[in-house]
Amino acid sequence: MRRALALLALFALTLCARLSAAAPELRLAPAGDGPVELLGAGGEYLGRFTVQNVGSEPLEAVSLSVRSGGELAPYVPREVQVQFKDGAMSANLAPGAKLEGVVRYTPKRDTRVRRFHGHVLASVSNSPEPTALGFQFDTDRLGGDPLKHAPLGLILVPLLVALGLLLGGTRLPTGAARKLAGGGALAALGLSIACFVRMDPALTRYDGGQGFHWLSRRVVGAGIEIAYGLDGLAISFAVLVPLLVLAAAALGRNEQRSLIWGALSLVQTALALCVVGQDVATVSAGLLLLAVACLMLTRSPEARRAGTFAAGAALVSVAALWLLAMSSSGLLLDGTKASRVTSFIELSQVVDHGLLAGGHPARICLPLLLLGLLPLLGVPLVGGYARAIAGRSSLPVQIVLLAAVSATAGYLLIRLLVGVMPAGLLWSSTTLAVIGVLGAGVAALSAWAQREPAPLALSLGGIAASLTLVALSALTGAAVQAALLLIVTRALSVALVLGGSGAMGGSERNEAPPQHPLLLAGTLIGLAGACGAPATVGFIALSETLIASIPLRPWVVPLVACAMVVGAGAGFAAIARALVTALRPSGAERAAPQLDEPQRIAVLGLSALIVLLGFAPRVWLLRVDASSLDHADKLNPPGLLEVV
Amino acid sequence: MFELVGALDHVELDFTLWAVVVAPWLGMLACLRAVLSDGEARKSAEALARTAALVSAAIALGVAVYACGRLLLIEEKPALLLCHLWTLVRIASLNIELTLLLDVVSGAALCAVTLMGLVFVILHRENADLRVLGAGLGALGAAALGILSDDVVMAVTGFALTHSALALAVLFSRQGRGALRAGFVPARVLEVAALAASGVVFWGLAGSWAPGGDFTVDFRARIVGVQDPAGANKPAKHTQVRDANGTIEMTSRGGSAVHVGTAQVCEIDADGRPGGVGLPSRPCKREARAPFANLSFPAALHDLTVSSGPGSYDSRAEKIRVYSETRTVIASTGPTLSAKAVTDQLRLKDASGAYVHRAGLSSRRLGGLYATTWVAMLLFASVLGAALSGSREEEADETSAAGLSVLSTTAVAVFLHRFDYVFAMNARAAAWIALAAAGLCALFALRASFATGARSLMVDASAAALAATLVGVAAGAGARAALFAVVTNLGLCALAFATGAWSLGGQERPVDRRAAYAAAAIAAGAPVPLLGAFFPRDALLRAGAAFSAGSAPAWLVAGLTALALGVLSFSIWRFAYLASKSEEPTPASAARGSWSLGLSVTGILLGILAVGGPIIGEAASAISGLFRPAAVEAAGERLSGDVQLVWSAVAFAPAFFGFLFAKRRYSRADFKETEKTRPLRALFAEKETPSGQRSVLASLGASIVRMEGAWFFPALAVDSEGPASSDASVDSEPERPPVESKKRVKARKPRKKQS
Repeated sequence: MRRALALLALFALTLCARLSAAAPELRLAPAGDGPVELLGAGGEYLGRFTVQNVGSEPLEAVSLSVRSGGELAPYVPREVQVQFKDGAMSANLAPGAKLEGVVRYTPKRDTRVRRFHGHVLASVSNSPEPTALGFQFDTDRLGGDPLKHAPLGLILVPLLVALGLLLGGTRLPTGAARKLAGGGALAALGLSIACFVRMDPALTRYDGGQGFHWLSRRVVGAGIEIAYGLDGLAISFAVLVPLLVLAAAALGRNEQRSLIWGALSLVQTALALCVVGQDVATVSAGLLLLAVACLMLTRSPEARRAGTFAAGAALVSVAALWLLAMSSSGLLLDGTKASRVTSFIELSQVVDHGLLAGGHPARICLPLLLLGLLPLLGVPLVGGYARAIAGRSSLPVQIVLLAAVSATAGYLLIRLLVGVMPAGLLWSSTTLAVIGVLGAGVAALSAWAQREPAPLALSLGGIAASLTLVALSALTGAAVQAALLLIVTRALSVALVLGGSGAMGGSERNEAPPQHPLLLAGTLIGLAGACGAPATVGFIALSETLIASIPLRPWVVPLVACAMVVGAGAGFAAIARALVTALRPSGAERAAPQLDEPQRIAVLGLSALIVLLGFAPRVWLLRVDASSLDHADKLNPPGLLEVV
Repeated sequence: MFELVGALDHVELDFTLWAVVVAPWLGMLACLRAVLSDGEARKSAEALARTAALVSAAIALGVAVYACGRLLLIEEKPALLLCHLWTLVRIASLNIELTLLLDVVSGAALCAVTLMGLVFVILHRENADLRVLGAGLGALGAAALGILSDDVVMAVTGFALTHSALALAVLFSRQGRGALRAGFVPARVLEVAALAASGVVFWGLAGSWAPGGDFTVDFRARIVGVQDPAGANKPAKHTQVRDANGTIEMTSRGGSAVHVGTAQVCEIDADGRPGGVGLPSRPCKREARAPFANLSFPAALHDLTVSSGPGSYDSRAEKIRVYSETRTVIASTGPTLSAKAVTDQLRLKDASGAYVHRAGLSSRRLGGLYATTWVAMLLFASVLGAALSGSREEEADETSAAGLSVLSTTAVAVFLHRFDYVFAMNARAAAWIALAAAGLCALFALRASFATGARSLMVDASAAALAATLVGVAAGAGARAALFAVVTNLGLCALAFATGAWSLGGQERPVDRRAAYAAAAIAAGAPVPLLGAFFPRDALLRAGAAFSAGSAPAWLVAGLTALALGVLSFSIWRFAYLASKSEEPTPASAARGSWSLGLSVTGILLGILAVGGPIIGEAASAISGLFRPAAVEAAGERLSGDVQLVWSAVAFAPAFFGFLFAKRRYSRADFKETEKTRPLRALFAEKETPSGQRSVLASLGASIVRMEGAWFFPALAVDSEGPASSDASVDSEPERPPVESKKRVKARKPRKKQS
């Protein structure tokens, strides 16, 4: 714990970064405060600013332009133009002279563009460094969208619940803490479902805001930008995380301490920060909160190591993020040149990365990031962590740490590897493929050594986690989607198996198949999903992974196919064993265990989700497709045809 | 002059095929509800479930027969019925759709399996365990899905669900009296190999692999307009074509909308007429969404845009000319998981008469081998997986349920038929795969000849028929080879129903002898010629002899397959004779016999339908007949009439002699199995279990588990002596109290003092 605090202090020191001085001769100033706001009506939006020569020498041929991210990563729509007020594109400025400039945006009819941020660049012919000024366009700010603060709500709702439970939980009657935590998760779930329904599935990065809905960006000082928003990838996890916390609350028991429920809500807050946060600071805050919550949740001596391990992994991830931010420089929202970049949007497009240990920062940050996130994701060789949690913790803790946290770790891998560090992934994709293949093999072998549902589900989940890496290494849109499917499959099936086999509370260690028919059915469906059985979402995930992995590295396919076959064989054998055991007539009649209504609904809901997404995944994937393609296009730009 | 031409199958949209899949599953749900209910409600639920099972199976058969009848009555040939249900995944070109497609071969297979299902339900309706009945219905619906699915992923889903349902049927019929051995790992091999094969085709159609391994995308138009210069692509006769209009059709990319500039293609235009275009000022009453067919469309030069929605870029096709009174097919080219879309694009020729896409796919290399070679090998692996995945567990109670074991292989046979273009493009791979498949056929025929019960016979004989199907597909006679599997499996199923619960060495039950013999005659295609499996077997063997210009390997393949099918005939008749030596049929079993006799007669009809040439012919095959090296063309041209007769004799003689041997040896009333058969049986019987392999895997896995847990469970690090046993389970380890190091204990003491 002391070491962890020391590490935290080290990170705090890194926040004291310098801002580089602005260009000396030109000053761009908005008409009001902050970035230039594009306002208008009648199909045209204007933003005004002034260009002033603050130097002592006259400046010739001062030209204005809009900073463009290129064809494949556009910052702003093509319809945005900038010019001087008189319509000229360049002008001469005497010392102290001031000219007015205009940013003009004329949207197309039926445009999807609702918001974007951009920069005006003013450059002098003999100066290499242009001066920048930020501008922004946001129809939500003008018109008002009822869900414009929904991402913030996803963070605040569980945070309030967590604070309430941690501060005043001891005064609550028995069962109220569980209900409160479940209520918080339910509220967040409702909010995320509302966002899911209202999302425009066709919105891409060409439509502004980098394809994010309800994007909000602001600079908070010291060059740190706070940003949050939801795209197709994030919305999946914005729904999944509260769903799993809700399932944990439903399957848990009333007599568990309020501290546990408070900590679980804290984990939900941390995961929400990681999911909706689109900047280093927010995600780091989420990971730090997660580390604290892990230490709280695993206070028992047996699980302490696992908790420390998880917290350490989270801190290593934070270190990777800050190293990346510190080694890159770019523009803040208002146009200030900053010596570090904390915005994921800026990081994904910034080209002037500094050197870190003599190389591209991704060469250091990527291994660190993998070191931090892969254990949380549940890849093999650190599988003892998951089994320690499964064997030593209460059921809600198991579900949240092994399903929700691992799913969010997978999401961060996709977001950071593909979205933020595309250059790093390009050169490291072979490494990822090798790790994935080896991990899948190891997990498949360990699956054969497991006889009980919960450890078996964790081993099968290890295969899915490894295949996630294989899919990510394929660099195609379908592969990104396959990675997402694998992560969700793993989370749902692990939660269902853990819940199904441990919900009765007699044994926390999930040793034997459950007695209750519904729990047995849930456990078997969970195992079937983890095996990739047809008619479950796992089958779609495995099929897509297999097909999407062929073009870049065909040798991967037979290797992962063998691992899939071996692992699935172990899983199906376990299902058959459980069925035989359940069907075998027993000598003594046992009292049928009873389930309460939340438990019944949780098991039924998770089972139904695994099956329904196996038959009709398009309902969900419709919102994911555009984001997956956006991400993959940064790695593997499409040609004239839409093959990749 | 047409830019791209090709004789694409005539497509009619259908809205009933889904019922063949869904109806049995509804019956299954009714059975499940009855199983889960208790108390007073159980009796009524059971009665309802039994009625629902019968009705659902009857609906499945009825719809299958109706659809086949409709298909055969379509004047334009070859024709297909297409029923698009929904899209599961659509990102870039990766499109997984639930689209059901019925051609002549799949129609025959569908009729066969639904018939089997109905007879199974009738036989089991009154007295069988509802769980067995439900599992059987589940397998029936899944097999129908496997047969009808145009998308490879959905077809594989069908196989896997069939296998799982059959495994459950075995499990329930055994009442938990023993371990379940249903070959889960081979079943996964089948699925993974089939998916990988379709994946290689998918990417092979998208681009090529450089020697260094990099994948380079083809730059080709993704949407093309196709006509037929021979006039075969005339609009359907029932289509209302307006003056100076042609018709358009698009069956790929389900759910996509087509635009002509700013205008929409209409299913119903603003005036309420089918087809036409809708303008922003006069929009369509109903916009056309793929799949659509026979839509009237202005004859002109059009620039079309196909919009598939989020996750896919719009595809543009410029200067597509629609000719007056001509059918223009808007076809997708490039990567796809749809078997129909693959075969369609492989038929396309350019103005010079060259096969555009076929030339691309046949030249792709992957790791030094042709991509088609990989596909062929993967298909062989999937056949092997299918052959080994059947449950050979014998049980005394529900042997007639063994008949359903053939459902899975029937679906796989139709699936193989859909890949026959691969072999037509790569003669060398075809020859080797055919040889390997012939060997596999011989192996499983030998296993069948030592079968100790109905289920072993069903599984092994069906596997042999599937391997023979692969021989036929590789030789270019895909349609007839698939029909061979269908007819043989139908006969086997009838034999299982006719022999009831009979088991060699087990409890003997009444058997309908006439029905058993009739069923055996259909399945074996002997001793009576022109019956049952006779025609398709004859055709596939002649194709086997003819392909590769009658080279030595081809003759070897044909000879070996003929021999193997002779052994298969022997094994089927052996079983029929042994099973028929029981008591005379009782009235109850006579009822069973009449059903199995009816099934046998239907099998005979199907066998006659399998004549091929005049009625169905190789035109039923989606691709063969278009490529010059295709075996059936070669068979027609390179084998003279006399040689064909010789090969017909070669095809029939081993089967006939197989029948004769079986009759001489097993029809005697005083026959008993001797010790002589036992050593051979030991070679092929199911006694050798993979327990050795399993324990190796488990030991390795246990070591990994211990290593993984060492840091988190300190007891593991201390207890590191001795090899990990196969039964070592990690869950026994956390039981031990954590062992703390001395250093930690020391460090803790002062704290206690402080407190």
